[in-house]
Amino acid sequence: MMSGYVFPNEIEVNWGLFIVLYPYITGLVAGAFIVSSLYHVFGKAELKPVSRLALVSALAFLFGAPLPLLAHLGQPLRALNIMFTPHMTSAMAGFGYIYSFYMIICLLETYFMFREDFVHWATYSSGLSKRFYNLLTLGAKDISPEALHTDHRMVKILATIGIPSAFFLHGYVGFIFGSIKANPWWSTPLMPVIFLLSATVSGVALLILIYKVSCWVRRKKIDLACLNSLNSYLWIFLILATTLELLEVLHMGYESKEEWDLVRGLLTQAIPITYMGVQMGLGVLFPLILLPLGRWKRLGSSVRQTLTVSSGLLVLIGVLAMRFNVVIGGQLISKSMAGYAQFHATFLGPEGILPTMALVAIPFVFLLILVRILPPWLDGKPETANQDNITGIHSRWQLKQAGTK
Amino acid sequence: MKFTVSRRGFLVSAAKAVTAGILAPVATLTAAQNILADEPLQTKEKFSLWANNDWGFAIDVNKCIGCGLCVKACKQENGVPLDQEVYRTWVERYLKFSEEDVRIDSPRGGLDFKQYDVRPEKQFFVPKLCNQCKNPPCVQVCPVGATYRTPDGVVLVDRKRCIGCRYCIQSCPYGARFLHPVLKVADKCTWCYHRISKGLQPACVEVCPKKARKFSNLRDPNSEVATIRRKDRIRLLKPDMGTKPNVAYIDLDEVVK
Amino acid sequence: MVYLQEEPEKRSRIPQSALFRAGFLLFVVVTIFLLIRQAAVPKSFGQYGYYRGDNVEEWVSLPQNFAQGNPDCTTCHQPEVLQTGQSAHSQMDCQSCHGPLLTHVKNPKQPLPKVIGNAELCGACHRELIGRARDLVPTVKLGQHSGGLDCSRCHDPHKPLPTKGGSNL
Repeated sequence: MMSGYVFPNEIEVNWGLFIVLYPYITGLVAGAFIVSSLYHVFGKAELKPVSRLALVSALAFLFGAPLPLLAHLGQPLRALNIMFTPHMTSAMAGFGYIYSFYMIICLLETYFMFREDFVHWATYSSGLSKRFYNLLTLGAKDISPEALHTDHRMVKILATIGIPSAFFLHGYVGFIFGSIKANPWWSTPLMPVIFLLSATVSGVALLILIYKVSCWVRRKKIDLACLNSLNSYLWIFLILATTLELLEVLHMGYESKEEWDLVRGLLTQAIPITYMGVQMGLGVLFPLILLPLGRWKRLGSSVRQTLTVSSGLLVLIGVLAMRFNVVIGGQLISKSMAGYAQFHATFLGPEGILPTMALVAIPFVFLLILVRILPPWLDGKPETANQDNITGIHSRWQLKQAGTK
Repeated sequence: MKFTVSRRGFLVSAAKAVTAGILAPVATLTAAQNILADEPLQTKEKFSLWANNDWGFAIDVNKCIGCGLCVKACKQENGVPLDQEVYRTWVERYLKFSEEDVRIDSPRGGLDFKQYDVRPEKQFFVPKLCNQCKNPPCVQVCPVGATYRTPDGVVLVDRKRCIGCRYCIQSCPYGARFLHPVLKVADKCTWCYHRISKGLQPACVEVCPKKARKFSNLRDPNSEVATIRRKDRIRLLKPDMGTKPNVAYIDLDEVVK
Repeated sequence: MVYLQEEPEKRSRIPQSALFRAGFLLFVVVTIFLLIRQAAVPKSFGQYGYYRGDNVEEWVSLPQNFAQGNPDCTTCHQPEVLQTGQSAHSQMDCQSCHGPLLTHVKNPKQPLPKVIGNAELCGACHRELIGRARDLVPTVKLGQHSGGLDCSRCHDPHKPLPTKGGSNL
């Protein structure tokens, strides 16, 4: 039995709760974007009610993603160095350009998706709002069928490009961990795939929650076919993600290399509650059973909704626990191979629980602002038309237009 | 302006947008940079410094008495706060009671060893420091080009460039790096680069009372470290990692990682 | 073309299509970024490798705190250095006990704090400590050996043995 020895420089954990947050938030972004693309690229019509909401959510969380990183850096004022002199051998150097590229894709897609609305909102509003929406049109106010056709085509192209970009946005984060040979809990080629799959899982779960909450706030009926579809996707991706996570541990245990003793000790003694209890128990086992129940037609619709939405919440908690277990758990294994460090979470201190909660809340605040500026709702508000035919290029505003022109 | 909604027309317009948006500014600015670039600076001293030296370090574990003078001297020489738990170099104590029972400690990096009334089978001290690896993972993962290995064999951190992301600290298998508590950038042992470049010894080597630490220029085949590497039974730390560490330990026990 | 309001009075020179406008905006943003980047990257970056070349000089010219050791001390303190060199402490450097001495070497007139040969200083090497083999360095049980007296009462640090009392124990 080895003594609990950690190297003197390892006494304090280097990457704390803020770094747990960053992969969590970018995971939500990637997952939400994929849901949006399932509609815009693969034509999954059941997901139409959330297709715009998904993109707006992805954008809101994308704005919030760099904040935990900036807060963590020892020299945040030099953060742009990562874009000025990115070191190509470093996975982390990808952050600047991958994030910027993805941000451009999302902004452009939002522009082309909402441009027609901007034109109409500019017309029907006044004062500051009018100027604001005029600005957002970038001066391109043509809403002929041809122009709208171009818009739709661009949305589809950007959504298509966006899928591998989303993979990169989260895959590179997985590679940041997976390529560290010094850390036995992190080092595996599966890490980018595991991260990406659990990102998709968290994004779908987030969308379930946001969709339900937004319907409840707006007093609209929830589209059950859409919710069911999200439920199915969540279930499938959850199974895939968990399979790979378990495969990794199984493989490590089977090969039984030197580091296995340490990893086993980590999972059973250092982080058993967050790993087995929260990540696997609450975050996987319960949703695995509750989600199919949520699709079982024998149950009443409100029961099914509750099952799906609570599964979504459990998954969100479980994925956060997974990020915690990877980021913090990995650092608890000492490189001395002879002990475990300790993680002390403070409430108010640097990288404490309170600032972490604030950083989680901020993207939701962005979302609240964005749904005010860019209402993504597609269900029968007075200003919008009641039909949107995705195969045709007719304007959503056709009925209104006929009235004014 | 009339648009014809043909696929070809559309793709051409999209291609023009991409070209305008991204490629054109890149091309123009690259061209401008070539016109404006200066001649690279060259100083004779720097090149002779690098041309003539190939630094090497060795540690004779048989000689270390765990006095901790090296730990203190390093902090004093290099401006690392004495009262904080960060160390450019430290000393570990190994007490082996049986195959399964090996106790390791390094209280305050070796400045504060406590006496215990025990009788181990084997007992020894091991000084540790940055191995200045020839294939350093810390250099590989730095996202901004703030750390590098000089041609004479030392890995340095650019304190004005480092953003304090701590990725290099995560990647070091030896625990040699830390975040400087005052400067908020990565820091580590530099083999006292400012001393060795002027013909002096690193501070830890200077003060070691038993001469357990050895430092010399490997270019000279008769120098201390070159001779040790040639003749003695030495071991490197974690050679399987592929980092190619450059600190040779004489008679290092198997339990030391 | 369909506009909701009348055709705008002034026509911008930039074509009005959404695609062009978005592309143009992207062009402007990327250009500005590249200009900033040009200004922000230090000139010596990339000189010798993927790092800022000037940094090497910054490290080389850091101030030292420890002097060169015995060669520096011999200039003024030859007797002590020679004596130590023939004693049991011959392997040691003056600074092992006297600490960083560069300021003193540069400015010898400045008074230095006196180094006291007490249990704290000498005990670092000589106290009995588990881990420390007895054949490497003579050790004593601190607290028992001298009954609280400073080590330098009986041992001259520059010639620790024989003790000032006489015996070579």
